[in-house]
Amino acid sequence: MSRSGGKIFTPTNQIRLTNIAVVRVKKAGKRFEIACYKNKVLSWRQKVEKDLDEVLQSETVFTNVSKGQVAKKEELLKCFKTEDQRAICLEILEKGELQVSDKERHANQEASVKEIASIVSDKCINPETKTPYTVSMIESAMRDIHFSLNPKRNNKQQALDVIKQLAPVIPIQRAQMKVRMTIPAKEAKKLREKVSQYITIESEAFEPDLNLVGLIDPGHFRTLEEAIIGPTKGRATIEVLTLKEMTDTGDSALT
Amino acid sequence: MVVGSGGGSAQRVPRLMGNPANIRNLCIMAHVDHGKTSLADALVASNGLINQRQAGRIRYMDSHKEEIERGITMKSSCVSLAYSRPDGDYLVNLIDSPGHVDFSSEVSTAVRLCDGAIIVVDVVEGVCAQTKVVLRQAWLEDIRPVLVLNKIDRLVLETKLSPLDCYYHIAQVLEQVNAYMGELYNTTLLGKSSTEMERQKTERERRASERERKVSESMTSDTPINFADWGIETTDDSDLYFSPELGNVVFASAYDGWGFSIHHFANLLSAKLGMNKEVLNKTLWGDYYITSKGGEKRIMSGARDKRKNPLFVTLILENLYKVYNTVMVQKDKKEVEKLSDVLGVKIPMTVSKSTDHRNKLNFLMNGWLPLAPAVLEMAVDHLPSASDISEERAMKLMCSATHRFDSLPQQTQELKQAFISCSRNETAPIIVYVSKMFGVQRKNLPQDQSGRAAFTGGGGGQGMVTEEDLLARREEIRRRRETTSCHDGSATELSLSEDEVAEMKRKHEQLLEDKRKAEEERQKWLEEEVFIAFARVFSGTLTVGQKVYVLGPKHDPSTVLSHLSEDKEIDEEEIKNFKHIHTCEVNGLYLMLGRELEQLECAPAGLVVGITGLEGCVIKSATLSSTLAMPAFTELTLGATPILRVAVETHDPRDLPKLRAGLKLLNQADPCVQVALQSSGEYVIVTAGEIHLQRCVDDLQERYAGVPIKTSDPIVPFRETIIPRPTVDRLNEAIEGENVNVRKTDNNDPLGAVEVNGRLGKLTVRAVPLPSSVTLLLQQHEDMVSLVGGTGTTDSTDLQDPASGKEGEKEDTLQMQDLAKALENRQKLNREAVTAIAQLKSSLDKAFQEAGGEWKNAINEIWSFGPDGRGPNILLNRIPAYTRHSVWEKATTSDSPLAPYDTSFVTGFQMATKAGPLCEEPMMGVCFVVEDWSLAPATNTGPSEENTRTVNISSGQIISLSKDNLRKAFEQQCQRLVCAMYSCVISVTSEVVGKMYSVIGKRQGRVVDGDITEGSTSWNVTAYLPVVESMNFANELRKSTSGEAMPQLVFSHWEVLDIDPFWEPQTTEELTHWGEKFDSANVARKYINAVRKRKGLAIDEKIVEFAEKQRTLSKNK
Repeated sequence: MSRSGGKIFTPTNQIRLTNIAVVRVKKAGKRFEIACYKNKVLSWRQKVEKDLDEVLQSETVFTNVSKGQVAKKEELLKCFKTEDQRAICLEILEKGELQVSDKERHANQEASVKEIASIVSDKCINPETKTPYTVSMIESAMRDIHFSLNPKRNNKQQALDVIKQLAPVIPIQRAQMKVRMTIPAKEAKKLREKVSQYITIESEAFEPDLNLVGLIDPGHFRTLEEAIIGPTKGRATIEVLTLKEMTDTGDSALT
Repeated sequence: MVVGSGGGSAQRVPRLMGNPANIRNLCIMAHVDHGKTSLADALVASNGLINQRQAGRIRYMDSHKEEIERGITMKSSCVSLAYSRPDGDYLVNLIDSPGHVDFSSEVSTAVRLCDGAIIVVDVVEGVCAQTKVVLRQAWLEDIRPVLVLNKIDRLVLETKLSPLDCYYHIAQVLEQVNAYMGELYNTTLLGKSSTEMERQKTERERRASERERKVSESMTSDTPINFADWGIETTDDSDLYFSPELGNVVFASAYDGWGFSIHHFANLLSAKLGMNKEVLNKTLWGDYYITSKGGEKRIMSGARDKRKNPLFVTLILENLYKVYNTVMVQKDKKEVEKLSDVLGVKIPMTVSKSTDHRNKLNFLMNGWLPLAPAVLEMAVDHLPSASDISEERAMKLMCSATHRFDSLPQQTQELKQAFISCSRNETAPIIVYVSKMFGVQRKNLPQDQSGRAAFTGGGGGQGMVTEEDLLARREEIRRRRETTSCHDGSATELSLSEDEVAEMKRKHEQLLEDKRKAEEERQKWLEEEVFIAFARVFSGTLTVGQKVYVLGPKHDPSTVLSHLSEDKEIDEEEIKNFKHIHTCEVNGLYLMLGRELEQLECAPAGLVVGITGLEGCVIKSATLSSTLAMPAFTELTLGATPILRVAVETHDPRDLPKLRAGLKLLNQADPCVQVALQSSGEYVIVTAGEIHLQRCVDDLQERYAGVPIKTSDPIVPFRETIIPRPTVDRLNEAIEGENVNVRKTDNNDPLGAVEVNGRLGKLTVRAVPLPSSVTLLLQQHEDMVSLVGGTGTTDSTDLQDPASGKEGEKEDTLQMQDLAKALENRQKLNREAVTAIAQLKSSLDKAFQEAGGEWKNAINEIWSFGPDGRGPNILLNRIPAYTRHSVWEKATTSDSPLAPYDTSFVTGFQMATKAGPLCEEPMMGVCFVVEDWSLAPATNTGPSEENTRTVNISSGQIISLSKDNLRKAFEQQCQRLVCAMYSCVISVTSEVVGKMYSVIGKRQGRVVDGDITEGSTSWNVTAYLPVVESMNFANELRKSTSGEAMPQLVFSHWEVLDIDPFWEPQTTEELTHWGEKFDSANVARKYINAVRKRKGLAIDEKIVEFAEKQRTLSKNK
């Protein structure tokens, strides 16, 4: 029944690679691969896993792991300038592109969502009570708005987006920053107009320089700085008094 | 002896309120499941509020859903009962209290309102932990106790003791109780060394010895005792010990509905045996036996030695056993009938025919030895009446033990008389104590006039008006219809009227709608929580609509009186200035009848009542009075302090305001719960235990907040610090030379300075641990530091500068009122502040000098404090090219190129100290020394602008430069985690001390002090416990010590956890000891990982531990 010659391909001698993550690198037009265990490569790169045997299935460099084609010596020598398989494996582990395994992806996502939530909780307050939200509360609110993670953008950017998305759902607001500005008397009048659109002024005094204390949106800090420092040639100053202005908390807050 | 029956006590109670001498306020207290509520049932049944047959099973006093489900009492509740006997009618206000540890605060609030207590002890279980607690509580509050030995039926039926063994068993339990009473007495005695106590003690001892002498005399003589010799002095001891012959002990089975005291049997038997009642009274309990020599019955002592059965066995227990035997064991119908004839009890046909023998027994015993009269009689005879408040107790209520009574103002001292006389005249001052607030839904209040009036008047809606209007209008509509139908001949009129009808229909619908709305509103209003104050009137008569002063727990009469002494007129306005005084109107008075409330017009002295209309001004407890001279009642001695902390939050963040309001209500309704809002934004409730927590959460969800709530462990704060590099390793071997195998840091600078030289310029910083004395000083004077270093530019000589940055921070430390005052007298405050700051500076300087070395000149180099400008971390300026004013001096404008970036650098420092590299928690006790900082030469600025601003560097870049490098400098040192520590005081008996130690050890705790308390067998142990390990600590401790240990946790201090979170074997010794893998658990690491995980930071944890053990998808593939 079988065709003449050649190996009969039956399920028993077919080796399926189920616990495998391939790391591949392209060098000098050639593709090299190594066979690693799943969920281990990232740990290795983060230097959490220190045992190489726990990462590599075998210290062999392949040209195609799934076909079981081992790289030829001369190719290795040509591309890596060495014959030492272990050293090459290490290099590929460091530089190669890898398949992210399920658990790794999951752990990454979870950490990112947590971080985004903690950034939001750190930056925002409930404007009704002037108290911060806890991380878990933000997380549940994020679940409510069906927040989905974008792995390509960094967490801080996404956190700022989340704040905007949350605003219609729950009362939330960027916590305001308290700053103090001193503007030389000469430019004071002119600049005060310009500045007052960004700042809710708490106190001001001319003595004779204008001394302003007020709350600003943290996003406006740069704009303000440029607005007052440019025209005064750096004689005006702006300084941060508190990064996050909120009401008192404590036992007395509730009774 | 007639027990109020049938008609319900409610009608009779007002009549009985007349005489305070006939009022008894008492509470039932015991260990959990010893039968308090069953006993209360029997007493309630005697007043006909529930069926006699249901008594002992229905648990009338437990009305809360949770209470019924779990079968334990959680809230103390009150019922007023009438009891009459030939010498008078009595009013008994009975408070049933919970027995579970978690609710011991409820017991405390109940005890305060009472004059007497019924202590119930399960004879099978004996004296338990809570029994001791309640005895102690009664003792501390000066409340006279009486004893009920409950569940004697269990001795007969379950343990099957012989009557003699049964007697000895009961005697033993009684002894245990008395032994504890003696211990309490001794402890108090040793605790107070005042001369008065000494005097009392000698007096007592004299009496005791006298009594002993007499007893032993009578014992030795084997002759019949002449009881005339027994002096009155012996009965004087009755306030201390329980003894059946004195009548303050009742033997009972609340389940079977029977109970008796020795007196009862003495009465019964004296007729039967023809003996003197008095003699029987003395001898029925004790080591006496009866002989019948020559036909004459005589009572002799020394039953035990002669192996005779004591009287209690032969005359009482054997009879009891006989009844139980016949009904429950033999189950012989005829015998039972015979028995019922003998005892003179009629069993109804329905019962005698039934096969429920327990029911039969219940009838028989209840008929023979009814429980309620026995207990009530004892209570009336042995517990003081409401008017009978001793001078001592009055003084104790008015001023705490730490103050002298004489120190109170004269007017106040005079009020003592009011307590003692318990007068209810109009002229008598009103004194009412509110011990707790409890919520009921408004619909459960009796439908009374005041309630309705309050509703319509309170602007809740014009429900009633609309209803009446509606009727009138409807009538009109009907009439009109009739008229139109009469004139239906005319077409024009018809069409008109059709329009009219449509119009009317519309109106009608609108009216209906209005009505529905009003009804809804009313329904909502009815379901609202109304808080009722659980209160006792000590003097005067409280009437509905009366205005009284509500004095908060912190009210001090002396300050008020001195203020008001000049003009006798008490000015309403002036009173508002005192924050502990409110005026309030009594909206309603209620008599509490278990689940129901009965409306009252007035409440004379001696009563325990519910008061409405106080929720606005009473939070948990308060004193109501008609005079301001009344001091606040002393604080309740709470049996349990709340210890179990959890964070609560709503599922939906939009429900937060509801949760907030709910927490406020909960705080008011429960004396033993604390609520707080943490700076992280989480709401924390602190409860006494797990069951208590569960109830609080249920209450919040269903009653107070009405939204779904979840609970979690609260967030525990940590601090990060650095320590000097240790010179020895974990095995106490020196880390030096050959010994060192692994170099941990790759930094070659021995001091760990970080140097960067990049596009932004050159910066060299070094982190150094602050001397501990300096850290401590900074922590203690945080408020002062914030005044100095808030911004780095304010200074002590020029504080008039209205920097509102400082105001915001001061709010933490100053009360709101103080702040307002402070703003007015800014000038004055400043002067004080300046001196305080100068003091702080000098003490800081001293601390630095003591530390010596490089700290010598540190005081003048301080650049800023952090985080938030006031924390226990310091930034030092040692830049050679940049001379800057220190925080202590007036700001000067410097023309150094660094000056424009000064504040940005400080901001970076603040951010770095706010979130350290270990787990983003604030730093503590760290000093950053900036050794050099210079900006990169500006490339595109002209020489003229050189010292104004380097344009291509923004302040943000400087902030991140300083932040990153300070963090890096921190990481170069030996980093340590700092844990918050609780100090924990536990007192337990010596049997379980060992178990307690092991629990503390398991939780990383450290015992600092443990000693036996003088005069008792209990140990007092003080230990430190990390806050992070305290979750569930109390519960575990309670479990492992069989409920004896009750830890009291108070925040104590911050402590450096002396484990390197990044530890790995470093020296040869360590390597041989732990090996390369060193896989023993690292506690510091564990804490850090937990925090990092919570915050979503990267953790050094492998996603998969063993690569080979990952499951393949399917075998066949």
